[in-house]
Amino acid sequence: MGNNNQFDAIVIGSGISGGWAAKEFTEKGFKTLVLERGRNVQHLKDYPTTNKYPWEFPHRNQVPQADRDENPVVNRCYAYKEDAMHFFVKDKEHPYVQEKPFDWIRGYQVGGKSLLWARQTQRWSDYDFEGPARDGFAVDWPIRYKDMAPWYSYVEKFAGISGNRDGLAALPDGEFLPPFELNCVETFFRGEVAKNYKDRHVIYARCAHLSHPQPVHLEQGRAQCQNRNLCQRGCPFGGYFSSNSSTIPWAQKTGNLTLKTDAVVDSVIYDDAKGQATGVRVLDAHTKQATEYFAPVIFVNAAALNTNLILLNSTSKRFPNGLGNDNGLMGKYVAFHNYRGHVSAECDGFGDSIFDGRSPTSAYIPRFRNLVKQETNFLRGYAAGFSAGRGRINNNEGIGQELKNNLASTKWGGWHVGSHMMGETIPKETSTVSLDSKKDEWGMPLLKINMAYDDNDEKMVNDYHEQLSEMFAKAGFKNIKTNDSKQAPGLDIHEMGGVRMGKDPKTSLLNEWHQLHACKNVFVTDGACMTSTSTQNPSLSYMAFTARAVDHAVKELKKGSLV
Amino acid sequence: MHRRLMVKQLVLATGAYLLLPACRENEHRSSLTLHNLKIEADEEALLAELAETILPKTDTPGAKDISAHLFTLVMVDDCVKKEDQQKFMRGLKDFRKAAKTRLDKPWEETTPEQRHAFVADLDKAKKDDGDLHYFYSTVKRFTVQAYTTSQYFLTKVQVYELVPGRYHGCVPLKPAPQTTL
Repeated sequence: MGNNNQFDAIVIGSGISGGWAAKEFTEKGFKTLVLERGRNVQHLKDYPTTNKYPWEFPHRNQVPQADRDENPVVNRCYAYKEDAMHFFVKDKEHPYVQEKPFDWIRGYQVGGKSLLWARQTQRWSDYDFEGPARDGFAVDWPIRYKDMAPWYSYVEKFAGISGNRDGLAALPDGEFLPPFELNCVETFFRGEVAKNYKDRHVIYARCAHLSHPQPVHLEQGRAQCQNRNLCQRGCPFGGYFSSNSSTIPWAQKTGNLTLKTDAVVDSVIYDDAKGQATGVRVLDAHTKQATEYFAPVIFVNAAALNTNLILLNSTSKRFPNGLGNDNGLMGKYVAFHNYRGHVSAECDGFGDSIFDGRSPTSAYIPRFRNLVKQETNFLRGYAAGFSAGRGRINNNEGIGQELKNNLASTKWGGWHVGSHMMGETIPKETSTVSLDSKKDEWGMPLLKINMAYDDNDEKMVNDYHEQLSEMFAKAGFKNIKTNDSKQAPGLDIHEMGGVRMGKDPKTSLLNEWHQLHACKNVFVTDGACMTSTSTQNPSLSYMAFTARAVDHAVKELKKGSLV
Repeated sequence: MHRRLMVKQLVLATGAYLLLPACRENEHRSSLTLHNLKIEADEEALLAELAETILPKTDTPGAKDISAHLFTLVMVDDCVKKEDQQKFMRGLKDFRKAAKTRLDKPWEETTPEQRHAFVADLDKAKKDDGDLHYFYSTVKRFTVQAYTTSQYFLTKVQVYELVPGRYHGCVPLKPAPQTTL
């Protein structure tokens, strides 16, 4: 070979994990090809709405009805509004098959969903990694917190994570930039919970924002978070972490990155004679023309479910059911997070207090249920978000001068509080993604998705409602209301699994280093690798998995090979 | 008189339009092409006067100054379900009839005081599912939205900060001096 299509490493996908793979490989001197199926989105240059004022949006940030009718799934996403809709995949353009309702939210562009994420970053602890072993579901993780801790530190320092050192076993501390503040009522609730419960904590929610940038962040061209809270538009300050603002330009600076956009990966090429993967087959998104690229190591970071799709579609004589899928478990044991439960209330008092500016995050209640031991009639537990706020009273009464007076009113309403749950769901063999017989316009099989809530999830929603209501009542909050959104799986945007890690090649697809057991030069470090889901927002773990796996791959390659 | 409002690039045109309050002089106004609604020039004029009656120009700008009626048309055309668009159009015709019956002359020939009296009553009337009420409440809702998200309102009345650059979690609430509109 030795041609333009030969690289030292290929990374499929440029989202939060693909960006990290690109950074790590290029920094280590590897000529790296990153394949992105969507268009390029360059930091600063391709954020068309980022500096717009509310009156500059023709529909004042509302999505037109025709778009809502054509794309009901993506329209259910909280961030799909006029200011950011150009960063989301439309249902109509990229169909999939819902054997059971599943809201699949996707971002096909350089940066993927790292442009759009909610930027919450919590480490896993051994309470999370040891869940399957303790409770007997899924399979045991082949790694523990001690394996991950140095890599969490490594990625946190570069990405920039703002947080408090809370000293909680359930949620290990990290390399934190200073936190932003909690507001008056969030701080009050934190105190009330500490008074009423020994094992429950309200903390500042750790997030990927530069509260106080360090030299390594300035070197990336990023500046301090300016509290705009318009992150989904792309940040002109690089105040939050995204592939676009951080890892991709960093990789570009090494001179070792080739970023190929509009490149739809059809499959990973397996060479039966060599007994390893040799490259990737790519279709031009516009011309549909196929091209092959080659490298001794391939990272599949296409986002959890699309990584499943590519690997299942990578068939060969050796692997007729998908690359590395000897045990037939690829695409099985997929799961997600249960975000159905909400609790709201009102808080009397603090009428003479307010916050000033906007906070990019709020408060967080780490998992307290079934943490140390099994104590309820359901497995595992949930974390919860918590926030408090107040706004000006809207008064649209009357017409003429009366209405004008009402609109100009500066009267403030009272404080309201709210919480949402983030529950662990149990990966099951019956929860699957698979290839449909129908094909898309690139000739790729449509992904068929089949997962649903189960009895464990229903019990967990009830328990969350009960426990948070009790915590609210003990804090003296009034008018406590619970709500079950009944939203379909997927809207949590935390789909995981299908190519799970494990110790035993008979019951898992990936080893402790994220290599396919049966094809060791192919790595999966995005959400597809997840053996269980726990309750944390997963992106930080994907970053750490990726940096650790690239380190391993490079060491092995330097020793000789990855076979 | 019965000219149809036409524009090719609705979104761009209205976006630019809302930014340029100086364009409100009727003669120079670029007009709208609507995808779904069929609005005649006299109906557009009626909407403009209705919006202005809801939020009249005083020492401060009125609805016409910020083209609230055009925003209303764009929103009804783009962001409202088909059946509600039909309800809106029926309501518009009912509104014209009701005004004529009540004021004993066509809407175009009424004075601002007469229009105020008529709309004030409509505003206070008991809400029902009828077309007229739907039309009126829709115009009012979008007029208020246009006004409270206008450049004028968000720079002079309740200042919108694109880049706050700070967050203080808990500070004393200082009663802001009541702004007048």
